[in-house]
Amino acid sequence: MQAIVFGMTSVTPQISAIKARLAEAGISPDQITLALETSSTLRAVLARTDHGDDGGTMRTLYAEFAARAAPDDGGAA
Amino acid sequence: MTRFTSIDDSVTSSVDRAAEATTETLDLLKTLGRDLNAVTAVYDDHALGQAASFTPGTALSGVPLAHKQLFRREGWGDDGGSPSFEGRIAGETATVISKLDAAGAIDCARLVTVEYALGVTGHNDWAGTPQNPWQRDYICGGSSSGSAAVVSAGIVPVALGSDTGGSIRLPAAACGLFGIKPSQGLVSRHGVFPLSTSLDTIGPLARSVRDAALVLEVIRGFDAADPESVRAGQPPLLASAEDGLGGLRIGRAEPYFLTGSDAPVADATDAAIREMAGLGGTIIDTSIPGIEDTNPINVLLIATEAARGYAETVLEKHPVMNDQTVMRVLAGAFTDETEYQRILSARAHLARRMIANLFEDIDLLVTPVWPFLLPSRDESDVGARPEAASLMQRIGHNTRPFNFLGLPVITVPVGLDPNGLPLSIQLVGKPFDEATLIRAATALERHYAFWDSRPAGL
Repeated sequence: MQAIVFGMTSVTPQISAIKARLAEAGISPDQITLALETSSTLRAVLARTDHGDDGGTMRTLYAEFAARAAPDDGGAA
Repeated sequence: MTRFTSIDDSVTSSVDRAAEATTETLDLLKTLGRDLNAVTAVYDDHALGQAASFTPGTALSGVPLAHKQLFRREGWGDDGGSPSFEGRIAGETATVISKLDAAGAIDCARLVTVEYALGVTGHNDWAGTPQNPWQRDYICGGSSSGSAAVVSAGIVPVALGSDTGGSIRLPAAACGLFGIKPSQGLVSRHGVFPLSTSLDTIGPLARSVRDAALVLEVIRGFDAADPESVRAGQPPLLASAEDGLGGLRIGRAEPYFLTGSDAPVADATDAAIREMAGLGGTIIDTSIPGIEDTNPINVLLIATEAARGYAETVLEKHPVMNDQTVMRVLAGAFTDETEYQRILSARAHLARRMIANLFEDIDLLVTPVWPFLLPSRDESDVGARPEAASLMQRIGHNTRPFNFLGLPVITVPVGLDPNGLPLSIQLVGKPFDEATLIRAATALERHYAFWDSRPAGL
């Protein structure tokens, strides 16, 4: 699976540009490969994850929780 | 030499007593602390100056403390545990450090962290790899490794750490401490060397639940300087500490946490859950559908935000940096802006859904912390043993999901493993319900009396 994902990402011009930038900075080919494989594996999980349509951020979600946890003081600091 | 193992041992209104305690703590940091590879810098003049002028009658009057290297104080070193920032001096003081100052604490030292706080074993070839005071050949875990070592060794009663994927809880668990990762937004991160601006949390590591709670009460509170800070209520954390487990609904989550941990750890966790039932808790089997995806997305978010902060530094300084740090930061460089926004969106979406479902029927959840028995320093040294990389990737299995969800967590030591090292569980609570965690952890602290069985010298 890693090889397939790697193949998918390697054709992206942006990925190629980042790889070139890392190589230019002296990052070893092995480290570039490992970093990209790690990224690809993780991003594959993200790609199949439902990111929902309920909007909001963690801060807004936790502000809601905070207000619910302390309704009497209006979430006072 | 006196050991300061609790806040009650050292809190004082006497300037002479504070000066004496501070002097002894400074000596311990420079002897035992350095022997443990746990200390980055000791600030004698500052600490003795604070001891001579602290405000008596406050929560932490005259209590000597020390904290992870990431906590900035203006004029002190600010290297993030990395040679890439060697010699950098902080131009600001962290909000939590200012709060501790105002509460009368004496700030003595900064403690070893994993480079950029980006690692879970505690290894740091440049700053030193802290030794576990329970067994010196074993790791403390990371990244708040120095904090765990000095508290476990009885040098200071409490130290602050940071937790982005488990970095308070893993070292606290490895060293037999109560470590609190608070609810997202409860404690300001302003002035703390950032790893992940979305996921970083700040909390205490202590030998007792009470001490961890006392410090959390001091450092919590809204701070406009932290974009993730929220206005939360501040109930007294110890008000229900003695209420026991009666009436609490305790979740035992499967599959993922227990199945994903090695048998000795899963068995110890199940044994602790049975003890909780015996203490009056109601055990409820539960599951969290989709929890397995939160771990890798948490890793991706850490890498992505680390790259946004440090990729240019890494590209310039990588020859002097740890190879693992370089790889982990650069793995985040491949995330584009669209994917980054998708991570943030997915996190809020999944957290909303999972938290609502999880706490429908329970008040808190129990899981292991480490997924396997604590490894030795050599076994977990990825630099010397590349095959240890797979082991390292598993370490955050039980901890990262709760950073992703933003939930409060406390670690609780419940016994010793066959190597004589602490075995711990974690209690996970509802958002901003730290008080229930304090209550349950206090009941377990009394039941296990873990620190009563410590070896001589601790």
